[in-house]
Amino acid sequence: MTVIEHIDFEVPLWGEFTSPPAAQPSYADLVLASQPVACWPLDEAVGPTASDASGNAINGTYEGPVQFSATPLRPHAGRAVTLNGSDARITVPNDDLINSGAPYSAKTCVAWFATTDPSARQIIFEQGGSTRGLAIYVDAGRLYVGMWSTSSEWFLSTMLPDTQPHMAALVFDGAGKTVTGYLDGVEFDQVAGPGSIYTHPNAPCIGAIGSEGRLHDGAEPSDFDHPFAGRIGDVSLFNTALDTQAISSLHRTGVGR
Amino acid sequence: MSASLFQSSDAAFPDRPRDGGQGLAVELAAGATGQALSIDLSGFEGPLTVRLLLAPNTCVGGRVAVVVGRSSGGDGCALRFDPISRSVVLDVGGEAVLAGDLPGRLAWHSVEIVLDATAGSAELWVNGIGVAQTSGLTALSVPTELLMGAVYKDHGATGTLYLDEVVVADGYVGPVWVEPSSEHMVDPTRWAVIYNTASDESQQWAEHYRAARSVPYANLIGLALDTAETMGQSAFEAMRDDIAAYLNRNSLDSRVGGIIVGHGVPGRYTRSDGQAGSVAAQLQKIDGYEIEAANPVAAADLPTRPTIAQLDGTRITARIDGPTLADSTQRVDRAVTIGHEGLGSGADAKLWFDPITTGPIYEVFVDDMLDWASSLDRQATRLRFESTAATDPPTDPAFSSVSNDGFYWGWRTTAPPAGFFAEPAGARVFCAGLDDLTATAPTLRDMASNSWAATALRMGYAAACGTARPVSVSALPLVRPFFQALRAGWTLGEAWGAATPAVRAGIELIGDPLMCVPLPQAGWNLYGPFDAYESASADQPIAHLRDDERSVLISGPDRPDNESSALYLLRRVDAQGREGADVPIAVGHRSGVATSPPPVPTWPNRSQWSPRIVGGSVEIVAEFAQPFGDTVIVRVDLVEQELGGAITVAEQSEIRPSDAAVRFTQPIEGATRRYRLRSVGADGTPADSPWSRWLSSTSPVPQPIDLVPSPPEVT
Repeated sequence: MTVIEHIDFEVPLWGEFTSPPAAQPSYADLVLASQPVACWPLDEAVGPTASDASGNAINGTYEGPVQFSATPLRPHAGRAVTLNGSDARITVPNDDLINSGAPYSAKTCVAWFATTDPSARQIIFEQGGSTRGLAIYVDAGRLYVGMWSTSSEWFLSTMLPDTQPHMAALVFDGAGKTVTGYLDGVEFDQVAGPGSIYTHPNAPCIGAIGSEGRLHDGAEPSDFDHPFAGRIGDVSLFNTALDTQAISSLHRTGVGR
Repeated sequence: MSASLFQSSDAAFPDRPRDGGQGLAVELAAGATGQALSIDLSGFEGPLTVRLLLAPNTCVGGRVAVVVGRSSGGDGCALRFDPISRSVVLDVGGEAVLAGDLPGRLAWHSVEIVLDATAGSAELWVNGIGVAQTSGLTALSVPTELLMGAVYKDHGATGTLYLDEVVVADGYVGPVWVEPSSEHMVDPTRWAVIYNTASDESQQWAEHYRAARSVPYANLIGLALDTAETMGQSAFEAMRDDIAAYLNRNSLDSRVGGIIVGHGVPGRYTRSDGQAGSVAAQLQKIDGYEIEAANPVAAADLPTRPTIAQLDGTRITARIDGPTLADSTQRVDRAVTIGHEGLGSGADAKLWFDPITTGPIYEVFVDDMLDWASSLDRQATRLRFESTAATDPPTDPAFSSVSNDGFYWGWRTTAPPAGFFAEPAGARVFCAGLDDLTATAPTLRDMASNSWAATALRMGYAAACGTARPVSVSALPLVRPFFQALRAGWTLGEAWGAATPAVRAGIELIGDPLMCVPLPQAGWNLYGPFDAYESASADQPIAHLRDDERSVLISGPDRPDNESSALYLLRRVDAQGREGADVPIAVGHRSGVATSPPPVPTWPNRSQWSPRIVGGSVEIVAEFAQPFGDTVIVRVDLVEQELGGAITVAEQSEIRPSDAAVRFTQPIEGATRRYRLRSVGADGTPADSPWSRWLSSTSPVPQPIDLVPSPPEVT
């Protein structure tokens, strides 16, 4: 073994410190730079707390037999969690920044996931009740993102044939009155949407329906229905509408390109 | 800038203290920009190893990339510290991620990454243990620049972390080991400490012990083990092999001569033959065979202090465990305190000595122990001595309880009797209460365990020895070298090493082997006999006396010939063990007479004293200034004389060494008579107290004195 360099910091090194202008921001840096209202890396080694890295302290709670230290969903991530498709999930409390304030003129929800069975109906993220809310989920080999408010609903979908890691995003832009869906940083559909969404104080949940919800086929599941089977990580919520470039940048950085 | 780097003495790795020692402090504030120290690696080829020491200190809230390898194609690898999960993650260019947990209770960690672009492999090492590796990497390249500090950071990462001792090399580096400063086992760098990374308490204890004894971090071996006290043979063998591999891989094999099995580590294992095995005892040799072997540093008499070379691959081992973390940390603290404060005059550190007497297999030990009990070596401990060997033949068992106890060395069956370790407690340093050789001792973690070791430790002893399974007679520890070693200033571990004839014998030291036990030094040394003062030389004392001893029985060749006299020199020894320069006392003796007459009672001590009359009896209590064990008195007689008659012994009282009084009761009837007490020395020399007043059956009984005066009359 040959020592090439041994630095014990005994002699002054001031002149050798450098700022890293060429350094690439991390995925977490990019998320935080967009000022999320909540973001859960889901990279804990143990439960029960799923820490909110946004600084707003809206911490989630791991429930059921969540498996930690799962293989990360993206190269630069530390960990992800694996849910069993049964009784493992992450519950999130109501918060004015997420759902119990009103009205919200924009929202973006981004989540990384890898399902073990794309054909099964499984919830990645959901907030709100049967009256108003939004959700990202998998069903019958397709990825769904959608919103609903009283009798109106805006659901978008695209093919999801595999069990590989993906990044899904739902963007609601009240100013532009659009709802847009993204898969792996690429827009797959956009529809005309509302100008705002009012309070929907039914607790959010990662990996299952919370207390109530609504799906594209009119179903109104409840009480942790449609549990997710597979890995989930890096769920982020914004009260702004991230643009296509921002969503693309998130995915590109997330996969290390 | 949300990260700043500066050199600081606070950030210095503690195992290599130097004048002005410094490390790299990484101060973090909310934000995503970092700062780094750049190392040029252009032109470097081959496997790249980066070893750094990392102290998480106050870092919280988000991940920090402390090392990033960069090449023309961008960042190729990154080593991140995650304070939330208390882990390090090596991201190899997006192809693989290796993660390893840091033992949460340790302050510093050795983190090492190995990147081999040619082989397409990567490894992550934490504290000298390989925690993750991968191969088949296709995009791995040798970086041309290494950045170090807080190269990137999560927005929420704040606080301060420390880095030090960064080594870039082309092969495995390992933790920072410290060159021992002594060839003897008093040096903490000679000891490896095993702890359990699966136990938070075990980690806490390891950090506590490291700080208390200045054990280098490299000597802490963290293994993921079962948290139960007993494990299976295969688990033990895996643990043993891991320890051997660690020592070998990290340049410690020839430096470490002792192993401590720490709190939370399984201390016992179930052997394939069904017997219980002691992990500590078995680790005395790590060569894969469970065969009892001779201890190369054991000796019946005090050898030269064992060196690492003399150990020759054998190791002295000890175990520190208990029902709770507090028990195990307090045991360490107590050992440190004893080393600092010593045993003072030894007044509350009696050595209770209880040799066994039955069974032919014990004869060699009984003979050896009885010989030691009456030897100069035993006197040299300057400890108050309570022994069943004082009777002839010795009795067994003799002590129903001990008190003011500093040491207990006994050979008795099963567990100590209830209430054996009585109040007032002494300094309680070491208990060698071996149970029957066919017994299996209970565990250390069981609060209800009544083994000698568990009971003694529960009652406050700093250390003990115990067995995990039946022990062969040839493996039993010898008392003489043990106390000689302590007397010479060796550590408890060294003394135990010298006292145990065999290794891997199922008998283990429980307690801190680095404890020093400063035995009392102050006292008196007696030299002689000499024919004349001019020919006297104080070369080898014939007796050691404690500071409070005032008499000694000289016997054997040291005693003058019949009807002759000799000169003896008595020299004061101070608390540092230094003899007085002068010769203050010279005493002549005559054969058949004790060096001094046995002491008479402090009560009664004047003529015409009045015995106490209770009912129809005379009750006489003779009180002495010291316990009989500290004098030459072997018997006290009650002597009586009838008026006008002969002087006879009315009653003889056997004495107990711990007592300082005797009681006699005589009927008060018949002739008028008087009494006196007679102390009888070990050589038969008597010493009488004054006579009492004459008593008869009509003697008036003393009336109580009214101590309350009558109130004055008011007129």
